Amino acid sequence: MADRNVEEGRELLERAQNGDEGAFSELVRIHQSEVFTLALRLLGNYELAADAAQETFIRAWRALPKFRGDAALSTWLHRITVNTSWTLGRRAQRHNAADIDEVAPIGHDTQPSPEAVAENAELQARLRNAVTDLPDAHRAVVVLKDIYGWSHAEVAESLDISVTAAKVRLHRARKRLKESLWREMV
Amino acid sequence: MRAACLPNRLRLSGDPSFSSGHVSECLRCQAEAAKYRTLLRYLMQMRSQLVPAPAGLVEVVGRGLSRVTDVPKKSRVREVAFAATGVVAMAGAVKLWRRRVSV
Repeated sequence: MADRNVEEGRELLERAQNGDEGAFSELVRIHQSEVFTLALRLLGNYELAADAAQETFIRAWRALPKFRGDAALSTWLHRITVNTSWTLGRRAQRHNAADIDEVAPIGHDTQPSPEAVAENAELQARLRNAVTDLPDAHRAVVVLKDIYGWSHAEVAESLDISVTAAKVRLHRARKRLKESLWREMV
Repeated sequence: MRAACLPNRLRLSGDPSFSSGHVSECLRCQAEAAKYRTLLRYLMQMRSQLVPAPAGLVEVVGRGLSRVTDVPKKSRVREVAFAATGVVAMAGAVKLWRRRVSV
């Protein structure tokens, strides 16, 4: 079953690389939630994240012929999502488009898994809000390193900062998350 | 907090698996390490919590695709590469022929 899915995915990809818009739309359908979730976690704003997801897929369509399959398609899409979100985020900041009151807490629509509910749903929700409240630069590092498991080098390269800067931001972000979580609980 | 706690706490936020002789004996630092471990575990769990994409995203992207006209197809890229190789080979052949003619 898994092999058949992989085979179907490969076939879809090949067709999309040869210009089949229907095949690409199917790939968008498969990866849309993953791309949107990453954009939402990075940007902390539902509208901006929707724009970023849309732009990500358009950029992916343009670059698809050059995709060689060295990494998984989802990994490749993640990288485009990060770049796109970063660009849109900065543009929004410049134009003051992001009204603080409109920033939706991350994960309001999320259905937590039963295990997560059992473990500590309240802490999970609090953590999602705490991640949203982090400054953009710190949030990006935490999302990519601690949620998506990227290496320090990958995070640094993707955000165009040094590895040391990535580590410093991560240190500060984790400290702030820990403080905001446990301070509220006491 | 004892003086020895401070450097350990600074390291804990960067490396929650960090342990030292001090941490193994200091209950405060052990509690701190436990908090960081919990924090990282919850962050990792967020990876699998997908937020549903806005309705209609696929259609919006689909409409956007038809406006993107400058997409080089993979097969077209290959064709261009073949053509370029042909041109280079032809140029080389002409150069060789000219050299022979001049000799």
